[in-house]
Amino acid sequence: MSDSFRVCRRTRFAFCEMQCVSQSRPSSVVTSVVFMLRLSFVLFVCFAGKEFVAGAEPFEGFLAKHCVGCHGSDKVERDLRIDQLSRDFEAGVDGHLWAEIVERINAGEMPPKDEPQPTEDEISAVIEQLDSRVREGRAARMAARPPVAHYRLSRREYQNTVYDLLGVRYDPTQPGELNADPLWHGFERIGSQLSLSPSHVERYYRAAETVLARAFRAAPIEAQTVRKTAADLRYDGGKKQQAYLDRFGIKRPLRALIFPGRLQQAFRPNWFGRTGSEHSGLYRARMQLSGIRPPGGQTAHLRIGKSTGEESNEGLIELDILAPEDEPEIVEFELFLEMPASLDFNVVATNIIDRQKGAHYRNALSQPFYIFTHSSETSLLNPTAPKMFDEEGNGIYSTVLLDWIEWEGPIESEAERATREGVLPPDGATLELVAKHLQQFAQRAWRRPVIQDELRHYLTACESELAAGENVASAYQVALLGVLTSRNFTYIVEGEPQPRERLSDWELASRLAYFLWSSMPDEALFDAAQSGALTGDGLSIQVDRMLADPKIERFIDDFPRQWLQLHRLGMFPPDSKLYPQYDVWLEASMHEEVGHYFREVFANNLSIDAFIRSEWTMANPRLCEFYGLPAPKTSGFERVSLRPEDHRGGLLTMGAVLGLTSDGTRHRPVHRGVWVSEAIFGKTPPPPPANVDPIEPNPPDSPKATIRQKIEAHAQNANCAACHRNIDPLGLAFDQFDAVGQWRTHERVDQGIGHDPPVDPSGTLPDGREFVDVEQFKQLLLSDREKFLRAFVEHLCTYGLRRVLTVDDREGIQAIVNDAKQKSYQLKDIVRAVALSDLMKKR
Amino acid sequence: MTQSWQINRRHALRGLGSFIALPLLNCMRPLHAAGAESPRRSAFIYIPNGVNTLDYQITTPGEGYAFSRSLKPLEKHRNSITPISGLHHPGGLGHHHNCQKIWLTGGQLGPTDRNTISVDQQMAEVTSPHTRFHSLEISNKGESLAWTADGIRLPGMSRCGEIFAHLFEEPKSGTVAQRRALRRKGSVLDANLEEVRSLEQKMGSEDKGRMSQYLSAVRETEIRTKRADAWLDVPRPKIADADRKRNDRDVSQTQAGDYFRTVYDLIVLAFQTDATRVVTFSSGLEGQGLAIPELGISQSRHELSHHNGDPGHMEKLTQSDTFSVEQFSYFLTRLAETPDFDGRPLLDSTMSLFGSGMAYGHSHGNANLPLVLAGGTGCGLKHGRHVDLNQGHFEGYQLDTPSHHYHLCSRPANTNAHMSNLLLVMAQKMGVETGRFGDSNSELDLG
Repeated sequence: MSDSFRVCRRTRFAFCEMQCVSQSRPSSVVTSVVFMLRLSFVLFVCFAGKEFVAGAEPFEGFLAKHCVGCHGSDKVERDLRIDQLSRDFEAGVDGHLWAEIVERINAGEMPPKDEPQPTEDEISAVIEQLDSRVREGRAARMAARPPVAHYRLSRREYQNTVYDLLGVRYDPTQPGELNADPLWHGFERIGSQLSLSPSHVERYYRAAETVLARAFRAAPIEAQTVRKTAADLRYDGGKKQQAYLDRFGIKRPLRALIFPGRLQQAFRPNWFGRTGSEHSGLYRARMQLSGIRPPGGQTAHLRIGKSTGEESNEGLIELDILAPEDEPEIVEFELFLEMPASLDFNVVATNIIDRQKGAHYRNALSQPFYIFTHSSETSLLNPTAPKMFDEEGNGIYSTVLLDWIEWEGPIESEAERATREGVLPPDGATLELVAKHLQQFAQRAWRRPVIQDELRHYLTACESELAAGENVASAYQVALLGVLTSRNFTYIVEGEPQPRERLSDWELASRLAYFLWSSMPDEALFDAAQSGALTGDGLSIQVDRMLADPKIERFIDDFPRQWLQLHRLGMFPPDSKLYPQYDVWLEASMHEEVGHYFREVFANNLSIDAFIRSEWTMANPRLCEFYGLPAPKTSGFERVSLRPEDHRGGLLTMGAVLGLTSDGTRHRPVHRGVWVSEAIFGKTPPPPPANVDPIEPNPPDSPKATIRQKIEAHAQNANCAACHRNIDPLGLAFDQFDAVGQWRTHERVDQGIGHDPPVDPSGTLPDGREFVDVEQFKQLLLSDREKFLRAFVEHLCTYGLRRVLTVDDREGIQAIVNDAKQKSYQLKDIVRAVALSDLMKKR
Repeated sequence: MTQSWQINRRHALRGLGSFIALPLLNCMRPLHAAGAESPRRSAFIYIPNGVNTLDYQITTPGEGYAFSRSLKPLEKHRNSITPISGLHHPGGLGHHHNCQKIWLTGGQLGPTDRNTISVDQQMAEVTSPHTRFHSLEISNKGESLAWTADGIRLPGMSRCGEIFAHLFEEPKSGTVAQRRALRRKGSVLDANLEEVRSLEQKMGSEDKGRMSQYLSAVRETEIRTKRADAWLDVPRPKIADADRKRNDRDVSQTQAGDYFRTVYDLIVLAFQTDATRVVTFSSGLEGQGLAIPELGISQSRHELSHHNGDPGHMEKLTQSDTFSVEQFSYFLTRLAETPDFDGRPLLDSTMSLFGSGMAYGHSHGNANLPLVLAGGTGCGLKHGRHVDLNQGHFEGYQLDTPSHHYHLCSRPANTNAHMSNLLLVMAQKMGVETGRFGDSNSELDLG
């Protein structure tokens, strides 16, 4: 990303650069070459004049020395004249040829073996220089802004915007709804990436239809309440079972035993009668639950969501059930459902009763004649069934006991209804009044003042619907559909045909709102834009108000996920044989830890040092178990203290971050290094060449070797080392954590002789500073905290400005960095500084 | 197969809006009209991450070649297929997994280089006036192989039941309600277009950026809305019960074989009923090629392809490759046994291209692409040979020295052997009148 920020070297003189090069070369022969080059440079200047001086690039020396001999005026191999390639990287004329040159040098194919070979430092420098110039040019093209720029809303922003606009809940991520947003280094909202095809248009149209149908229902939908007892859910009413209990004189009521390995119904649309899309909305659930945790086993974890397989479901709601069997708890939550939806209960655990383990086992436990009331009564009631409890009455598996469940919905709040008041014109309204209502709606939907003339075509559509025999309400809906499928709604539009450099107040209001709330401005922000109050103190007042508004949760949810590329977590699911302790609940917990942690740092306005290192984290029981921390007493996330021997603290050693670069079977130090480089330093290393030899597998008859030992080959080869010496140490520092982020001292190697080898997390940074393990590595990062701050500000700006940054943004970034330094690197102050910055006000 | 959707043209005209030229509905064509040519069709099937090229490569050119281990399942179709070696996309070299995006476009890649139209979409421009559906995109993970002329990727459908309903189920609301819905949609889109046009007039011809993209997307949607209206009076084809049973169901992707075969059956059905003539099927995104639990392969193809030289992984990769080839062979068998309108096998009128945009996945080698062209003799293809573009540009295959072979799969031996040359010929055979496609530099000789 911000590799685009590297110093613009265009104006440097080639002379200085050659001195640098000559310093790194001890040989006197080389020095004389440099001297000759200097001479030819002078000559060249005479011929080429000023233009060349202005365009002299630091890599010219390398090219002249190693490339132009065969690809220049004297000799032209493969039709390539490097001396004549365009140096205008911003126009990108010869971008592909330059990329190919980087690739060839990087791969060690050029210069050819029988020619003098450059040193590792020279290769490193020239690749760095060329790659950064290619990237700068690319960034400039990606960031290019025409007089009128269009930035499409991401799916999440669309969802938030229709909610804030019309009080309608709509989930665009459902299959068949809006297309997934293409990501750019994790960011979902980069304008140049978000394009539009006919299929997008189709889907926006359908989404608008759905949203309007929900906002303006033909008949109001009453919320219903449905209650199901364990007898209803598990025993089909339970009459027979109750008779059986009565015969034994058992007073305890029937309970549903939910065991890991089989889903049980939690929600069915037919419980509410007929339910179509119009019944979608917020549903409130209450249920009485308790859990059984086997000694030394996992806390019973209940996951509620749509079934994805025989023994798996999506995690809409995740609950750790700590209440013991005799003291059940009542759990309440609210959930948005796209109807018709079916939800199931699933107990997530690593030890499950699946089909492979015992079909008979599973079936017996699922039969109506398997009766459960209490652990002490199971062997009496089910003498022939498989055992779920041992002789002492301890559970063998993690299980959940359900007594009853209650659902109420769809629920709509007054506030939600209020957002759409006055959108529809009254019955029998004149065309003039209709036009006025449409205008008012369009101003909110398009987030700016709208003149009547812009709506002409939508009113015409409305009129022709009336002419086609539609009633007023239905004809008006066509106009509303038009407003919601207009580019002014689905895109954030900045600029006018007459180019200008700064945002209008309305545009600024939208930019701030999508930055901090991932949604449209509210009334107060519109008013501020309207009255010209978005400057100076007026602007600070608005930004402070926005930072304190509950909608800031959307920023806390969206930004870290994109910045840290959390979408990669679980992309290659860890092999269950190699990592038996890993399950979907652990993965979900890891994901949540990052969000909770970010929220804690934000809410307390802590220094961003806490992202690198801390003596606390936010954990739930599942994570505490995984990290080896004392078990907490409550089920949610809470702040827990860390000791040095816990080896955690900060983002870098969180399970989510350590795991997202793994490939499912092993950790990948190089990928970890690239991630650190991007997320912490804001720098994307050059891509690897296409033809590297594979890392050889460990032969069965040789000693076991770690991945680190195998990639040490990177250091042997000058071409590899040129880049890898900058990348690998950043990843190897985390070698004490395996592919799923678990602490280890030895690396598990399947083949080979001897014991598993110990891991080595030591390394040397490109600048020569050394570290022995990850703690020291974090320490070194902290001593460079300004670098991290700058990268962090760049990430925030990319997110807020919805575009790739370029060298032109450097001053703006520096201003924010200076501001943030004054404020002791505190997170909320940094976000505030970005929101108030000059950069935010520029197009 | 009943062809009850064959109706007369006058009937179709009834109730049709006046704003659109009537598409040449193929279903209105007499069944056995003298001289009527069979429709021409194309299918493209992508497997992600290349192959275990050591077990895949056929080593002798021309006729009488010996099938490699991975390609063995195609031996029974020897006379209907042409394995092709030595092709590459210059724009894909060194670009890792982006190779999938340009597999059918031959485009250049990069954040600021917009992709170009894919060959299937270019074909669909010629064939779509005859069919209810412009083209059909299937992809196990939603992102298809097809790209519009604006360089935007089309989404694909992944669930079999969804594909079936899309192709063959009449929407439940009925014709009158559908026509009303289409009319409303048409006027909304029209208003959207008009609104943009009034702004467009105020702007210079350059610097429109996203706006021209928006305009063409909305315009295209409007045309399709009108076309959909025209098709409203044409009943959907009746699907025999056996076919419905086989295809109208959701198959989990963890049952890989069943999933692949059902998708292939759906493609056959789509061709047979002339629902569309161009289909792309991406069997996996580069990062998400299916595991094959029935063979005990739990890794994605991406994981297998980065095998690190591990013999166990490489063996599994070969098994996974062979599995994909087997499913493709099933597709060809189904095409061969299914008659077209004129009674000849569908295989004759259907060109299928199977392969990957990568050859050697471990190091992202994008040259010497694994490709098999099949069927379509009725379109003028001839088969039975191994077309090897490497010949004359190297010293023969050296599978015993893997590093040599891997190099061949990373750096093209024959730099003129562009894959676009193949795509160009396929486009021409489909009736696209052009002498160039993507970065083609000649027509691949398939005669």
